[in-house]
Amino acid sequence: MTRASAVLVALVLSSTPAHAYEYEVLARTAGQLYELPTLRLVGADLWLARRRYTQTLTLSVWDIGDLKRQRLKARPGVPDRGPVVWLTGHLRIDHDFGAWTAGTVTVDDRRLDAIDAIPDLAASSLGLDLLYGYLAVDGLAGRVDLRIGRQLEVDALDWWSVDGVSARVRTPWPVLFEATAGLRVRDRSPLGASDFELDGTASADCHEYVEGPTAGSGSWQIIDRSRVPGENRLGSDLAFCPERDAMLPTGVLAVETAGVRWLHARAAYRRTQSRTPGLIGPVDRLDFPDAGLYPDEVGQAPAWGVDEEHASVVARGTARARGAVIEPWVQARYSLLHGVADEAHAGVRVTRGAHALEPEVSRSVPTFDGDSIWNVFVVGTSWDARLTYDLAPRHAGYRGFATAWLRRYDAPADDARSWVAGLRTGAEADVAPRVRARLDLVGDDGYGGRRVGATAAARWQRSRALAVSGRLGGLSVELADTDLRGAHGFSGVGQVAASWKIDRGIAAHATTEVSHGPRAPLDVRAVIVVDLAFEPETH
Amino acid sequence: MPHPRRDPPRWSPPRGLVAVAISCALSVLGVAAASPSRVVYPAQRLPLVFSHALHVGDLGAACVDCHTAATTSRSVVDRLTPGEDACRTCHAIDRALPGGTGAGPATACVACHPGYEPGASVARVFIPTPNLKFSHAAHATTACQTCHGDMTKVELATRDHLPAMETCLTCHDGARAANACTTCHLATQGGRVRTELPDGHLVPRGGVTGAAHTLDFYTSHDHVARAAPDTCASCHEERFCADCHAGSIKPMAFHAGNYVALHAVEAIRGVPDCTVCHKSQRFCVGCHERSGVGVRAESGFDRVGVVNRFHRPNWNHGVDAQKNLKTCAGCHREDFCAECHTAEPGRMGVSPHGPGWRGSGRCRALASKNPRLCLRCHIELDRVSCD
Repeated sequence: MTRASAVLVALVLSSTPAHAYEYEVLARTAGQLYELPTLRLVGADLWLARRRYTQTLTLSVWDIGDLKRQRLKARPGVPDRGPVVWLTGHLRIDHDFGAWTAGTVTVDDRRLDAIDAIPDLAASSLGLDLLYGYLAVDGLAGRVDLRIGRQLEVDALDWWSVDGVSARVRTPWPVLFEATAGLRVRDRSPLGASDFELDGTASADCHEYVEGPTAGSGSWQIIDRSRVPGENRLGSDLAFCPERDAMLPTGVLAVETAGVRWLHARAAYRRTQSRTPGLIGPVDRLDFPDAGLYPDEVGQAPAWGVDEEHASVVARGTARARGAVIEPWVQARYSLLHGVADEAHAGVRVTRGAHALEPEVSRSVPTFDGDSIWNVFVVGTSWDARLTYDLAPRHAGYRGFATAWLRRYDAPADDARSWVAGLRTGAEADVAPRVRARLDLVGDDGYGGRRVGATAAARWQRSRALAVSGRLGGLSVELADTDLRGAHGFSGVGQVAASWKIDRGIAAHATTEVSHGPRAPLDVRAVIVVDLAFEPETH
Repeated sequence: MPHPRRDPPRWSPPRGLVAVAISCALSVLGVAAASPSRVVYPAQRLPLVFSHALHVGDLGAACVDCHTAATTSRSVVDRLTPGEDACRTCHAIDRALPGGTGAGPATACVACHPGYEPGASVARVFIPTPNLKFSHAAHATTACQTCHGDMTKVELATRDHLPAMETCLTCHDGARAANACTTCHLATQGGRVRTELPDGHLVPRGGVTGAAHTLDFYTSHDHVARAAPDTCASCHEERFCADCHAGSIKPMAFHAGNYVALHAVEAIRGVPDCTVCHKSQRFCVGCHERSGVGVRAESGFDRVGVVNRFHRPNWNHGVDAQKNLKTCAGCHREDFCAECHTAEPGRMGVSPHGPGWRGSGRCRALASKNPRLCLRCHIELDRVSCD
């Protein structure tokens, strides 16, 4: 009893006061009901149901430890430079219980579960993804921002995700430095989302090298799961592909301008690599010498390989001349893995009053992750030119745009089909109190086919709580060089949607869509979303 | 009780259309008025007559003579417009004599309240609280005209005489004064700019942030987002991007109708680039196989002799593959290509490399950084060389 009392007293004395933190919880529940067609050689297409339930949950806690609040209380009016500790996370559950993923597929007269035959469906069959979740410390020593956890990054390189640590260091000069180290997020990462896989081999059919009678005479074959003990009918070959499990250590270094009003520039370098997978599973499961996933009889398989390695630069400036705002920008990415500049984009936006003109050019070369054989295929360069005009008078109640574009494919076998050009234009206006209407037109022709269409939409803000919108559209498509049934013809669509703010932090949205097309005379979709945002007033 | 007399209805064009037509004409002529945001400074009702030109210009009154709290106010909630008491300093107003006392400066009610009729209530002035953070006290050393302009030529002051963001940023440049968005803009709990405001949705118009949210911005924001992601992060959390780019809900506005049946044209061209949101090998191939448009699809439509084929007979696949290899990757897994394009013994052995591969920088870069790739076809690496 005495000991228990002593422990209790010690706990009371050592405990810190409870803090009431500012936090935010957002929950979104979505239900989707629609059907997708499966082509059949004989008879009508088979329509497969998608019944998707998606739940997202976002949790953010601000100013953990009340550090900022205490400083502001102690020194009112003094700009706060940190540190501030906070965390945020975004979790998603996605489940499709319709026939699309829960049905079966016939392959070579064998009926297989759809996921077993097409492992890629597993991601939407039941996915539990942490899209991001990290602890942040801003203003450490007044200059350093730290992030620890899963982070989403959008920069000149692309859109990607990493589990690790990133630090951003501000300096007394107009420049800051950034470094990130961690494991690149992939489908097989804990709570990983497939959306962030490198594109290429990582998701392809998993092959292994099967040795022949003599060294070097073997061949690559799809991993034969029938040799794997413990196979279950609902399993997929994803589970037996060590390449998909490989961890991807990633490092990023970047330098960026800071506080320069007329210029924002950033140069970055990123490298992702992975260890070469060995045996499939912990033991040799073959009845002949197993060389591992890659041929390695004479040690030819490297220990590591680079999956991507990029250097990039991006710059965007702002200047004013003769009443116009001029914003030139340029971005370029060089793949050190491929020895090629795979993306380059430049343009300038000139705005004068309500009018803006933006010519831009770009160049791109397709590249894939470092393990993909497509990297060694002959590829051409695509060149794009685009000219956009924007009209946006302030408070005029209307705005519009028009974009003309042109793409050229530099293929060795040049022909007339190496060009495609198009025009898109749209306008939006307040046509009545609380009613906004929009009209869009699209037309293009050239490589790939021809499209002509229009969409008209209107939104009626009935009250602060209720909004109703509708959309009517039609598109005529002529896909080039194919006999595929349903690839040509006219397609029409009608949508009706409503958003209702039931109360503070509670909203419901419903959308119904009816479409008609060459493949289906009538197709109906419905989406219902419930938004819950719990934003408490604390303290 | 008789109903109020009403004139018979006459047709008139909808006010909205008239406004659109007039403002369109003005904007084309380049004379569209520049006034501050209506979301930040909501619309006011000012049923008043007042001349700053007379009071400040001709009579030489100082701003603080009437706006007495202008140097001490610490919040936009404070009402800084002068009341009748301030006018009484010079105007001998007597509410019992609405027609005026006749002494000194104008004293009749209608002199300031146009249309006022004795016995009726005075039309109320309505100046909503701006959706901003601002302390006049903190700016007391700055001359009034720096932000509000030269009032010696202005009659009634309106929203047009409130400072726009460009004015603020002449001093708030990050050096002389803080330039974080939430220095002035209302913030969310997480410190981002609060964009959902009672009077509308706050969106950038460009010029200052370089991210004008134009009508087509949802399809053309890529280079803005890549160049200055921090600008986006001023308002948007990551979930805003993820819900669309890594979304699991069909975007009805972007991929309306039976887009699934119509997307092939865009996918073949690569305009727009599907891989910004969808991974070819993860998303496209799986969907294609399930929908019967794939090599392993149960429709078997790719088989020779079948009429319902995606690729027509005698189609030269090499030409299209070279134009946009990503299109191939949308339907085919790489092992399909490797059935022919491989150096493995016993296969067709069609080289995918093309002329000039040996000795190229691309060959050297790939071989040095990831020789695993070479092992997919060249089982013995010592027989492979880029030289």
